[in-house]
Amino acid sequence: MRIRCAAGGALLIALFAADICLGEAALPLGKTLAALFGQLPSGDVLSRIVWDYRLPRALTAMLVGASLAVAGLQMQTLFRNPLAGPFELGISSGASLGVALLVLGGAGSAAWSSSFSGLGYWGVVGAAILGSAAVMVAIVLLAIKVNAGVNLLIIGLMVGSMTGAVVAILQYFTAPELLQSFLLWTFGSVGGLGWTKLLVMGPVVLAGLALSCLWTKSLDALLMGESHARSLGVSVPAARLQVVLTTSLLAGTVTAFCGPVAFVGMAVPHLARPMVGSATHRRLLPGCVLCGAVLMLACDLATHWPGSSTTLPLNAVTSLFGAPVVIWVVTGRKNLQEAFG
Amino acid sequence: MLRIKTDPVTRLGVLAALGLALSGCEGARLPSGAEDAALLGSPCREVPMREARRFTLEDCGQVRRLTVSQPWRGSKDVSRYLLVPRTRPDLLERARRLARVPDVTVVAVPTRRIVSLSTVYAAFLQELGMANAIVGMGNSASVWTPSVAARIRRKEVADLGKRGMQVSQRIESMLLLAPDLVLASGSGIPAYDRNDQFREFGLPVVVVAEWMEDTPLGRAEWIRFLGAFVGRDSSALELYQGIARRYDSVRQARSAPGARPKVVVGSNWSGSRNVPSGGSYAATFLRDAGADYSWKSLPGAGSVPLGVERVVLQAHDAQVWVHPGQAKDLKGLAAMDPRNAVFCALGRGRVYNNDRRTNKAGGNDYWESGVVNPDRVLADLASIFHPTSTGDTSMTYYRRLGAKP
Repeated sequence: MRIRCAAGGALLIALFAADICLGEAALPLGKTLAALFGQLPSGDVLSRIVWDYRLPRALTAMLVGASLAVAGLQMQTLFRNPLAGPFELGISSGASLGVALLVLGGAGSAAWSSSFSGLGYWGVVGAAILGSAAVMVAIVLLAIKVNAGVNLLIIGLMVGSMTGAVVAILQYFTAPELLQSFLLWTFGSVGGLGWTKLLVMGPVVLAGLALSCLWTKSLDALLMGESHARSLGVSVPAARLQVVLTTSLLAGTVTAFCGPVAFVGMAVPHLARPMVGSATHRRLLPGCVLCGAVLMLACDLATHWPGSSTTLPLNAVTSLFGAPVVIWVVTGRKNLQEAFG
Repeated sequence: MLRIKTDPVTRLGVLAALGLALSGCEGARLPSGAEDAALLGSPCREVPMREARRFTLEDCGQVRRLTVSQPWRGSKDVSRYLLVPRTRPDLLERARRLARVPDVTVVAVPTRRIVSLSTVYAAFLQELGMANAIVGMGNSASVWTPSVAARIRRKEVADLGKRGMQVSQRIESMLLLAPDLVLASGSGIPAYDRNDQFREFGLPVVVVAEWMEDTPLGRAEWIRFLGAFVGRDSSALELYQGIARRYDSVRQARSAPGARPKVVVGSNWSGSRNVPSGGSYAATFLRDAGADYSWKSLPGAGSVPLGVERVVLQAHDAQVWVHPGQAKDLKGLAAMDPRNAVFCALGRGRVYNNDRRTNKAGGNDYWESGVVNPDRVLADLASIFHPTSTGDTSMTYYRRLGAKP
């Protein structure tokens, strides 16, 4: 296991370096490194590209991959279902609703243009956070009331359907040009964040990851089943609440800043399990952080392949490149459901 | 699946009955080749157009024929419209009787009850002095053209959907208006475009494709297309000649050798930026106004999504920035993405947007009278790239972004 983790770590460093050195604008390697290590004047355009675009982008990709993977792992444990992902709680739909209300719903009023120019990107982030937080609060309240994980799963899917319906109504009344802005947001992107935004998203996401690490014992207890958990002295409702809170925080924040990034949350735990070779969350969780960061860096590299004049949508790449990997891993394993008791 | 068994004779009878039912409608259709012999009689003479490439106008004696090719990107459609004088019921009767095939529409001219499903046609009709013929308006919330907007407010013009997909859904309201012309654009996307369905209901739909023209003067020349329907051919020609003359004089003044300031366009969204290709409408404006457009060598006539790194690398040193998106002032533009500071034009405050004439619903006269009067747009752009003492107060559609809102 150590060898595999070391290899994973080496891959992470290599991909991080590649993501910084290989952008969609083909810069000479020597100049890129010179810019990275501050040997070019600070106002130099190459220096600005490396420092303001490539570095935040690579860091964002790692944070997004790690957060969604951990959120996905927590959801799979909570629902004891290998198909669960961070968005089954309706968090992404909540964020989409917030953004749709801002970009599409307000389109008919003067408030839209002024809020959009005044708040800019922050308007979108704020709307997404408000949307996902609203859904999160509703889910947390229901999580206190509802006994079984599967009930929560159904509630999450229903909330997702309802918010999806409101988004559809808003789209129906929107001019195609505005719809385009919203659709672009739904494609997901890690390239939209500069340092200012990263310095807001980073600490929140790191706090979410730290909380998840602190509560791995609750996750183990949930995986073993509720009666077993009780026998270990773990309060199941409290554990469920912890999982819902951290997942909402991680997935909600990432969605707010980068749009709904599909697939990673559901897929990465399946890559991490064989790598770690253990079902205990104390090991699985860091494994997911590593695999998630590696996968997102690889996907980000694929979105802006050097020499191509354009970039691909992130969501298409995560599924297109990630799905075959998961199929490959899953075909080599026995019944995945066994891992869920 | 339910199937009704019928013999071929019965089926033919049903088809004939359907044909007869349709023939009572003004928007009836005609077989592609048959109208020549049946109606046109005398040989057709093509009326020369200067820059418009997507339509042709032919004089065929009493009847006139308009042909529109490729009404939207990727389309292989060719639509034909036979304009038959209202005063010749015999010709109209014959045209309607022959109605069968979907690519020819018969329209009785001049038209006097017009439904416009896009705001730009309101501007064309206003210019032709025919704005009062509009009885129904789609995308009604975004209309800038003052006379039409006022009539919508007074409910003299029926509201056929404020914006979005609802615009193509109001078939019942449209039928009640009994229009003799429905001006629509085509997209090939069923959610936005129900033109075939409108035709099935007998509405005389004309798909206007001015936005497919790659040059400003090409788009403006569609005033002659609309002029043919409302019986204002000669004033349309006169207006267009004036527009072209003024456009040419600005273009010639700016074509002289001299400094052409480098210009960057658009704004970043989700890590990429859509920029117009070198052969596009927007790029033509920039070239004619005497600017050095950063992506003039990009092939094609549409727009292309570029990664932001390439945008920065290629255009960070541009002296002027136009069309920066939704930002209302320099502070807003910097707040949208602090990395915008890399563009020299922002530091120098030389950022211009085409939103001087916009209404609360986002309607922008740049996309209405600006399409009909490209000479005014070009004059604005020329004064941006080659400032004179008059400053930007004389601009019609553009404004310089201020430091404060």
